[in-house]
Amino acid sequence: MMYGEQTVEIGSESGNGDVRNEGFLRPLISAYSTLPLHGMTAIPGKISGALMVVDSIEDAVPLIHGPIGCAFQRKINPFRPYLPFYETPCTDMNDVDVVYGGEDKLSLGIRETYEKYHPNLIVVITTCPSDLIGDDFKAVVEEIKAKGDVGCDVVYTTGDFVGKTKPVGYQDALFAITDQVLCNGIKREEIERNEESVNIVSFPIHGAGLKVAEMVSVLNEMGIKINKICFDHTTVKDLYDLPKAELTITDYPMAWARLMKERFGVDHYEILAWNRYKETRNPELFSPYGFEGSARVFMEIAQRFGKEAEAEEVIERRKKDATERLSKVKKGLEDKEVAIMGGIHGIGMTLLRDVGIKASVIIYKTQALESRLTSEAINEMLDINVELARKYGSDPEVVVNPTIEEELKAIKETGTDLVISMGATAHKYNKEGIRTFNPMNFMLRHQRIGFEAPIELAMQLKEALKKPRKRNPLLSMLEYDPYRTNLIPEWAALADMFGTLRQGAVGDKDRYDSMYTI
Amino acid sequence: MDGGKFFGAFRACSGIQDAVVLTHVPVGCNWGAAMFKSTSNQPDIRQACTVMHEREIVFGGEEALREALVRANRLYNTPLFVVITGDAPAIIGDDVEGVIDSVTLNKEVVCVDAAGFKGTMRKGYEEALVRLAQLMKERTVIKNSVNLIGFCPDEFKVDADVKELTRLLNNAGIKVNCVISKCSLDEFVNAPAAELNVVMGQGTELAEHMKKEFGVPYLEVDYPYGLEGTADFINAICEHLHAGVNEKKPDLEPFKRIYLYLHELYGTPVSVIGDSHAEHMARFLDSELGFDIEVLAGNEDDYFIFEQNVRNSNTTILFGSSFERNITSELRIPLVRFTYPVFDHVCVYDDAPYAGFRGAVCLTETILNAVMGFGDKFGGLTIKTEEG
Repeated sequence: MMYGEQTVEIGSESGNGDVRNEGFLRPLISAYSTLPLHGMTAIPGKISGALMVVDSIEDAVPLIHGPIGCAFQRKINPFRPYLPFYETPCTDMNDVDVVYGGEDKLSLGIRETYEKYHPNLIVVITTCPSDLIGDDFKAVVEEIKAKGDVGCDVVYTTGDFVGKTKPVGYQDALFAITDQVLCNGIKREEIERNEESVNIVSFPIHGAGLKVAEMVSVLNEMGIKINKICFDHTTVKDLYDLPKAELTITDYPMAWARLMKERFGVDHYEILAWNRYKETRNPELFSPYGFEGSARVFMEIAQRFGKEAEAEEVIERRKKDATERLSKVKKGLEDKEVAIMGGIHGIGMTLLRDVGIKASVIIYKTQALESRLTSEAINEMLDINVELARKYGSDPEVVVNPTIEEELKAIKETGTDLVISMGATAHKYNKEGIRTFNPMNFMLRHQRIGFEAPIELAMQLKEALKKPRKRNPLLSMLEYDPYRTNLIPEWAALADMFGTLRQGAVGDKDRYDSMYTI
Repeated sequence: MDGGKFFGAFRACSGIQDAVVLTHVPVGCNWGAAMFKSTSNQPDIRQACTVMHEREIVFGGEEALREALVRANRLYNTPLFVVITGDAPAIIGDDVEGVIDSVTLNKEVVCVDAAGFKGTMRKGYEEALVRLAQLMKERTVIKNSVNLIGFCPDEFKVDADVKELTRLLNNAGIKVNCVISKCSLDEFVNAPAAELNVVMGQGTELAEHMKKEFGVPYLEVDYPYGLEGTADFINAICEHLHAGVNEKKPDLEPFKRIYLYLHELYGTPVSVIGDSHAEHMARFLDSELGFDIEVLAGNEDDYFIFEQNVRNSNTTILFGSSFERNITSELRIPLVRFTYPVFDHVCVYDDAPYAGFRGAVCLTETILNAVMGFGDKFGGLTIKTEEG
């Protein structure tokens, strides 16, 4: 789940850039992340995604155009619940506004927001009531700008600009900023290009500054410059500089990146290339990590600049160096076998292959996906996992939607050394004397494009193998749902209800899209 | 910051502990309601949603509601469904009651109209309780019994506070008939059996309604923070019921153990923000701990102005909710969380209240620890000498 993807970027929470004690922060963050709400029992909706974008731009402020309750409940940031959205000014629509229109309140709200915060950008986020009554957001924003009432840019995001591209709020806010600010009135030929440079843009909670450091170093060695990295203390001015690059690298397909190509000719490259997967059915496209995955990504980026030769030399050198160091680190892991959870998220098979570990069991739980993906997509996802495992020398036993007893039986019978499992279920294995490795910390802080990640993974796995095998966790005394083994029965019932009702929602069930945004 | 009518209604209705609340809203509203509620009571998640999407907005959400009712009926074996409608169905004009009437369910169903743009959280709470009161039945009055009105199931320390107040009232010979809204449906239905309704901050409209319909008188009291506040609370109820004044004195021993710290904190400038409890908390801090109240604000007041007032004050401790973490972080002062919403602290120990005599001890302990354990306040300071 992407829900829990918080990273050390919160070290800057203090406002002075100090890196805080990660040992303290990790359990703090995890405590919030384990609330099994996201996708299974509830979805935060478009406003949260838009707020996340605005929150990631240091000198931008949101303005929620709706009743006060919309701003109240959005205080909790679903992507980083430990760090609420403190600034959520709101137009506080009431029943009179719903009847006669909320445009005057919006106009007033924009002016007041500017007076209070003096931001460089105000992002108006519309809500159900203002969307439904048909307020003319565009006209209000344009009038404010034309009159020069505020000394900053103003954009509005409704969720309608990007169709159903998920996550809607996140995609739509970035699209709105690109369309209404970056591309507004600026001609392609007027842009001063930063030749042979790239933008690296990742999901705001992914800690771009930390996780792309190696990528930046490799690209620089290839002769490719970095124009901008987002979101890492990003300002409005940084956004204005985005069109100067030749290429924008994103985690997954982004509507705003396509718009920038259309308007400014800035090409885009997606690390998780599911668009290309749809054409080729090559499962390797889901494995951008590890030596081979990273080498492929770097080479594909280099090809966009005609720098294959430079890339080949850099990739080979880096890979050779890392392989030599890894060979020392991974001693003792070669004969180990792990049980993994099937799905797109998690530690990739390529990384496990790099560290010399085989998958003995793949545990595949589809309940949470069934309301969002077609059965074909779910089966295809399983096939991808199994195919990659077999390709890399494993012959795993595959168990689909097992009870905990069935899981444990498969794990014990295969002599599995370690279960790669999130914290929510680790106690069940520990109780039975099976060691676990929580991949979340690795995924959040270490899994990235580059050649160092396999070394770090090997070190962490070795540490996990030294941990106590058997525990008697308090958690294992609670009753859990037999199939949704991370949920107590009350939550399982809620998940069933939510999943069932959501199933019928128009456009909510995708073949692939949801696979990467849940 | 006010939460709006939808939240008020949701909090009132979800307090019926064997009811399922079906929110007829898009996913976002449902998410917020669930998130705020689940911090300190994670198994208590009796909530379903009709998951309104564009299709429902365009063609109406009645079919989605009907389907949700039928499915929820299969899934939850509970005696009551409360359907709370939010902004979107209110605007598009879904005939919610018509849908409810068209479905045969083996349970009571109550519909609450709670579009966020139609009022404050308080209004939502009040109206929802009056709406639920249609379930109440005339009952023989139980002598020396009270209903406590004004609670919500997601308040910080609510379980512990209710337990402590029940203990204190029982010691005074008074039975707690029903805690609203933190009770079973059966208790709620039988609420008119109480001799007196005790309104604590909110729920006045329900008390008025019950007075009119069932002849139950009511008494409005402060939320009982502190020793004096608690004694006033008990005595006011006893007096009204002619149960005699409670003579039992609180235990002062815990305060004796820390009296030197209390000396030092006497006169500390503090600020308070919150719901209907804020004023009562401020009274305790002022009257009993001797703190100076710099800024006192309610949730419906302008939050921006509240923050400015606090910045311009000498506030050394702020009493509020999780929302105030930002301003306390900025001012580098401790935050004591006591009012809704609290989503960055949990409270699961039912014997550590903030209300009542025991609550006075726990609250004082919390305040002292918040100050004594607050290293940052001094960590970053440098003492300037004449040499600079």
